[in-house]
This record gives sequence, structure tokens and C-alpha cells, in this order.
Amino acid sequence: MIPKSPESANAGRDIREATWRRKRVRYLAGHVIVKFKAPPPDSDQTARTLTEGIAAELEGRVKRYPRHSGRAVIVFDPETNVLEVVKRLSGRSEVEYAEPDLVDSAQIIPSDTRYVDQWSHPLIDSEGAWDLQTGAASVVIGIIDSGISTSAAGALNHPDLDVPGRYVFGTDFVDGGVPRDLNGHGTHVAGIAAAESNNAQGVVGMNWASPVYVCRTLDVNGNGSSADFADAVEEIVDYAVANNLHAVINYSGGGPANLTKQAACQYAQARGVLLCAAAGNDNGGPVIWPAAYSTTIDNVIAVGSTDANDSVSSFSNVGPEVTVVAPGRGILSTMPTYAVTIPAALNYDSLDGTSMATPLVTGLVSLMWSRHPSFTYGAIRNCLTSTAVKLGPGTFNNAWGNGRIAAEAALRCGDLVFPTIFTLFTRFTIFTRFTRFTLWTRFTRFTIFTLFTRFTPFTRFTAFTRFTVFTRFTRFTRFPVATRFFDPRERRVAERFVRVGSSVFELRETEIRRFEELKSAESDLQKAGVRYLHELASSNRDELAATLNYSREEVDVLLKLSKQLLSTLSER
Amino acid sequence: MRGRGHRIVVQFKPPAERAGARVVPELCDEIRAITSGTLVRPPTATGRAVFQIPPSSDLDQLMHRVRSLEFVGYVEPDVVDRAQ
Repeated sequence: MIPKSPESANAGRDIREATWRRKRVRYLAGHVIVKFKAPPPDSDQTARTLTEGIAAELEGRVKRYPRHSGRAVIVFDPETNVLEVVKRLSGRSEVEYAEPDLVDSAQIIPSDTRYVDQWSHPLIDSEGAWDLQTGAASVVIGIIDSGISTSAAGALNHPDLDVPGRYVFGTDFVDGGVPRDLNGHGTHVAGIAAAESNNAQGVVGMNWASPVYVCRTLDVNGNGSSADFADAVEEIVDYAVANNLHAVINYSGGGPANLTKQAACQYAQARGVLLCAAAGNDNGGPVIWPAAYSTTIDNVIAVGSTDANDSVSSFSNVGPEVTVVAPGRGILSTMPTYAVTIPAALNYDSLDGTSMATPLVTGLVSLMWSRHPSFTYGAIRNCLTSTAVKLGPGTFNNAWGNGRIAAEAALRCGDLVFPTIFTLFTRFTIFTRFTRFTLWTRFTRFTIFTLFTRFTPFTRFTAFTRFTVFTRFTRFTRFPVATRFFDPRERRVAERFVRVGSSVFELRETEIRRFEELKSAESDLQKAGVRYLHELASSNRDELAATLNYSREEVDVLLKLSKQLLSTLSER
Repeated sequence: MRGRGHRIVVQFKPPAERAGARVVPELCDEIRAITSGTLVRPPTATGRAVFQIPPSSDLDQLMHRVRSLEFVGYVEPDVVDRAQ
């Protein structure tokens, strides 16, 4: 944990300027980031000892030991020529790269007084994420739990959970009326996902601004009915659909499987709503439901728990259903302003559990959707899992799933391409927020995707493709496609292409002389200036009959044959 | 498996799959008659209802009888979830 202190607001930091890689950069004096290569399997040297050895050799000290990614920070005397040290380190065989610790633009550091105790946010890079997004009104966070802190009269009464209009009261399926929290669990969960933030008091929520819809299904003892859960899911989903919102539902509860819960998850899935559910706290037992539906219903995200040292919490359940893990031990959040069942302090306290890890993921998902409103739930889930930090060898583990969430990387994921195949020959590509799905082949050189690019049904790029603009109108046409070719190194004659169905062919592939079926008419057609199949297929019957001096019936046969051949060609 | 008291969840088949022209309240009445229970939650838009069964009754046997009704998709105990 990096505790927040007055100094951490950048005051007093020694920042220098220099030219590095032909650019003027600002960096922290004396700080060097070193990324180590993975040690050979037979090596008895750990990344820790390696870092210490190098630091001692160069008269520095280790400020941050390597994490799973192999990245460490070594600090030298501020007057040390950092760029020289970087150069020396880069030359070492065990170092993948070394670089000065460049100063980014100021990050948002929340002003909340208890933020220093929220160790989970620096660990998952929340500050970087908040630089990008703090929550949009177009995403609703559904909390299905034991309710939220309210006064006896039913008014929101927690200083970190009382923004007028932000928290929407859903149904209290336990007692009816306002979903007042009598257990404490729901208020804690709501605070982790969406406490008011940067308000100079209390704690920080993962999402600072998106609306929160609260339903109560867990009673005073933390027990809840599966039918109530299903009703609450449907209520939140219906609310999101009616208001044209993306929705992510948090359910920090669970139990045995049943069809009711399964049907509720499928109801949300059919309407593009994500459901984050706790994996359970049975000390490594099997994942409970509804979280365990994550392998069969793909809008369900099962969340396990980790500790401050990025190890999976001992209480966290394990299994192939675990989607991701997030900090869940010693999590500080909001508690009701009155005494409840959970023996905790009023207003704020720390709790353990996969219940606490789940709303962190829910909050993150809501930020991702705020940043990328055009994403489907599948894309959000892909980004969440693909950017998660792997906590051991391999890409998946029953204990940590696809990894521990990484907030900033998850938000930036939408800026990248997915799914993507880059090959040896891919040169330069610009992707916009609208890029959805594209297939690149070895011949792709330069492509711009525009506002209108949705799904490009191309099957082939050829050796001659240099520069292509796809517009909304590029779909199905018999005419040569709007393809321009550009190569700054040479002037070349533009080749022409023709689109048939969903395929693009080089023009020569549709030459009439290539088709045996048209052999008898080939010379006549050539004289008439008809050289390609698509030209023949789109010819006017009467004009062609007059030009070729054929009967209309004979031309009909030719036209029909050419269309059949085109059809066959496009189906290959 | 822990059930919430003696509560059962009954999922009605979609109207198109139900024979006859009976409306949902009639179907609920039939289930109530079979189970001697009370309707806790009337059917939702997706056709799911919750009934409270007398504690003295045999839950498995009652569920078997309800399951055999032609308009019932499935019936199961209302299992209890716990805060984690």
C-alpha cells in the first residue's frame, strides 16, 4: 500500500527534465524502473535477490521489489545521472528494459479522509482509472443485498451515500417499503462500489457518479430467498432497459444452485446486463451460485478475493468458475449510521469476504462501460479478464481465475484492438472507438476504420492492398469497390477489385476467359468490350443482344449463366 | 439444501405452451388447492410465483404433484442465499 500523505500530492517531489529517446521528458530524480526478464527455470536467483544485487552494485536502494510482472523501482542519489544508469542497466542480459520513472500528468487523488486506509485502490491502479473515468449517468449499478443505510423515516442518512437522486430505492423484498439496511452488509457493499468520492470525508467508491439502484433481498441475518434474488434481477434489468442504460448488478451473496437463479441470470444475459457475484467464503470450497453460472452463462462474473500482497485469500472459494479476483480482505467501506447485526463500528469499518471483492469489480465494470458505452457485455468481460494481472504461471488458475483486476488497464482496454491478429506484414493501423471486429491477414498494410465501420465482411486482402477506406456503404456491390492504393515509396498503377457477395476478388479472377462455360461466347463478348463476369451479369439484355447480334433468348442464357458463376464464386 | 421455510417457487409455462384458456389466477388457485398453501408472491412477468406451504406437509410429495400439472414449467424449493 502506498499511503496518501500531503507529500504524495506531488509537493516536494524532485522532478528533473532531460532528453530521452529524442524527446524532452520529466522524470523523478534518481528513480529508475527496471523490468527483469523471467529467470531461467534452473536459476537459483530470485527476482528479489537479483534486484538487491544490482542496486548494491550501482549504489542505489530498492524502492519497490519486482511484482509478478518483473518490474522493480531502484532509487539512486538525486544527483546521479539517471539516463546513464538506464543505459548501463539496459545492457545487462537479465534486464528486459530500464527507463527513468517518467512523470505523468497529475492523477486524481481523492480528497476523502479515509482514503489512506483503502489499500486496495493503489494496488489495482484505481487512480489511473479515475483519470480516465469516474462514472457516467448512462450506466446503472444494481445492488441486490441487505439494503442501504437510511433513517427510520426512510431517508438516506450516510454522509457518503446520500447524494440526492443518485441512489434509487428499489423494492424491499424482505419487509416491503424502503430497503433499509438492518444487517450492514448492503451498506458496506454499496460503499465499495459507489460511495461518494472526492468529497473530503469518509471513503472512496470505485464509481463516483453513476446511478445506483438498491434492492433488498437479504434479511437482518444476511439470508435471502432465491425467488427474491430473481425478482430483484428482473426489476433492475427492466429499469435499465426502460431507461436505456447499461447495467451491472452486484450480488454479494449466494447459495445452492436452482433454476430460479439460473433463469434470472439468463434474463439479464438476454438483455445485455452483467452480473458480478461473490465466489463464496467456504475456505477454498466450490464456487457457490449464482457465481458458479459464470462458465455457462457468460454475463455472470464470479469474483474471488485477494489480500494486500496479491495472494488469494484463504477463505475465497476456488474452481474453474472463478472469473477474476479482487482485494477482499480488510476492506474499509461505509457502515450504517445505526447499530446493525454485523458487529462493526458505525459509519465506517473494515470487513473481509468475497462480498467485498465483488463490488470492486462491479464498480470497475461500471467505469469501463462509462468509458466505452458502445461495448457489449461480452467486450467488457473480455477486457476485464484479459487485462487482469496474472498471479502465477499460466493464464488461468482455479484460485485466481483470469487474474486480479487492474483498473486502469481495464479502462484503457477499449482503446486497443480486440480480437486482433497482427502478423509479420501488418504495418500501420488506426483504430477508432467504433472498430468492432476485423480480420487482418498477412497482406494488410494500412487501414483506417471510420465512424461507420461495424463489421467488415471481408475474407481476403490481397498483396496489392495498400490503403483502404471502408464506409458504411461498403457492403455488397457488383461494381469495383471504392479502393484506393497508396504506397509512399513508389508510384504504381492501381489494381482493380470487384466485390461479389461478401468476398472481394481481384479483377482478373472474374475474367470471362477463365470460365469454360462461357468459352463459346468469349470472343464475341471480348469484341463487345465485355471482359469480366460481373460486367456480363449486369449488362442490359437488349443492348447486349444488339451488340453481339444474338437472340434475346441466347443472351438470357448468357446472363443467367454469368450470375450462377458469380454466385458460385462468392460461395467458395 | 436449505429452503426458506416451506416456500416453493413455481414457474408457469409461457401462455403459448399452456393448454386451455385459463388465466393465471385460476392456475394459482389450483396450486393453492393442491398444496393447501398461500400465494406469497403472485406471478411475475416471466411467470414465476412463490407459495408458502404448511410446515407439516411433505414438501417433496407436494412438489411432485405440482410438477405434474400441465401448465407448470418447473417447481423447486426457494433456496436460501447468504451474504458472503
